[in-house]
Amino acid sequence: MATLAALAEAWWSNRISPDWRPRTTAESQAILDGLGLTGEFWQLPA
Amino acid sequence: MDVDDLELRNATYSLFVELGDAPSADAVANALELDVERVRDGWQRLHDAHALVLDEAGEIRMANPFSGVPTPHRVEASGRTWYANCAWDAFGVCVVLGGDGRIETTCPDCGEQLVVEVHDGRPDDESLVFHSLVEASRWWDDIVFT
Repeated sequence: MATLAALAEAWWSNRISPDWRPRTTAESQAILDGLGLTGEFWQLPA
Repeated sequence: MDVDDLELRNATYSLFVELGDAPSADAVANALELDVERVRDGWQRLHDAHALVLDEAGEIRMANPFSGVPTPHRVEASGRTWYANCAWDAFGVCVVLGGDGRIETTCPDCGEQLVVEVHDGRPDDESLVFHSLVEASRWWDDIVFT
């Protein structure tokens, strides 16, 4: 649950900000990797 | 995503938060002083870019983390009741609305009702387990199921 909360913070924190811009796949993958969500299951499509 | 679609996307999200529910195309068109068909065309491009999710009728189904329809994941935050698309999004609703909230959901395994208080983005009970059923490479194959 702690990881889920950290993931939500990293993934959604700027979602309603006027400065929001689409993330690249690499940026999204870096969020997952940074939280230890690694391995084939957590690999976003190339 | 061009500047116009970004403005449309941001206006849609702003209205969602202001109204406490998914805005209609007419409401967004009025806010941006656009023809409603331009809103619908732009929403379709945003849907294709995974920036929001439309239902079959072309209305807002998801403006992640918010759900445009009631779901089993209810969130009390910022003085309102919201619906999230999943447990991950339920925390996301708390995050985007300032970090505090109360999540009410049910365990998809045993059906037990679960209540999680969230303060500064942190849950009061970290013993619960979040299970992601779909691998990341297939999230957008069917994002509603995911």
